[in-house]
Amino acid sequence: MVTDKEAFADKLKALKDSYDAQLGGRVDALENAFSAIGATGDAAGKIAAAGQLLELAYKIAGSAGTFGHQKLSAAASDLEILCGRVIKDGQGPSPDINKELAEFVAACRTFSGA
Amino acid sequence: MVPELNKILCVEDEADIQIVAKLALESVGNFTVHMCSSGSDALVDLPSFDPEIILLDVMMPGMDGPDTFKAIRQLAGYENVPIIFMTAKVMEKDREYYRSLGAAGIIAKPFDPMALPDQIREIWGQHHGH
Repeated sequence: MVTDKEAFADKLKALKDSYDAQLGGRVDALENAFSAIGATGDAAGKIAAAGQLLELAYKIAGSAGTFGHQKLSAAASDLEILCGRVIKDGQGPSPDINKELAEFVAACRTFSGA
Repeated sequence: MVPELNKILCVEDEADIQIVAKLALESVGNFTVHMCSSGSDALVDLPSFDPEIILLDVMMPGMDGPDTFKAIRQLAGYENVPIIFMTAKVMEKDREYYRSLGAAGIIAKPFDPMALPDQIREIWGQHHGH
């Protein structure tokens, strides 16, 4: 007989599997948004691209840990905070900040396992 | 005496989180839950569902959490309904802002599905002075 707790665990497992199947695409989107910052010439465009990167990072930060990806969630949270600094600064990322952004994006790829 | 909590409106734009939150709140918490994908949907559904507490994501496209919070407070009968922000924003200044709006509580994302119902009940109890 399947208990309520077992049924809940089974449903949660199915949701995690579904989330995991989408993780590669989510990290692809992060990488694309990061590339858009570098591909944009003016500061306003870089800030807009950083805003898109922040939104994507926020979503991963808020969801990944619920599905067992705590390290990914933490890396995405770091990325989101750094994007917030870039936006607040308003000038577009310096080379050093850009390097940090790249490292956080790479960490998200690594921790996603995708 | 803390009144029993039954009806929860959850406003969350991300489908994966919607599903897991609804599952946890219904299966573990035994609550009646209504999900909305946006702040504007929440404003439409609020009177018919008439929740006792509202869970509100902070960052949503269109009307964000704080804007939705302010709009709910303008609705007759919902000036005091407890509203909990759910957020991945970890900066203390963000949390101070949500508290300054009058949030009943803040639940950090990512959340533990098993623990979510108890977190909400704790905030519900605090809201009623316990």
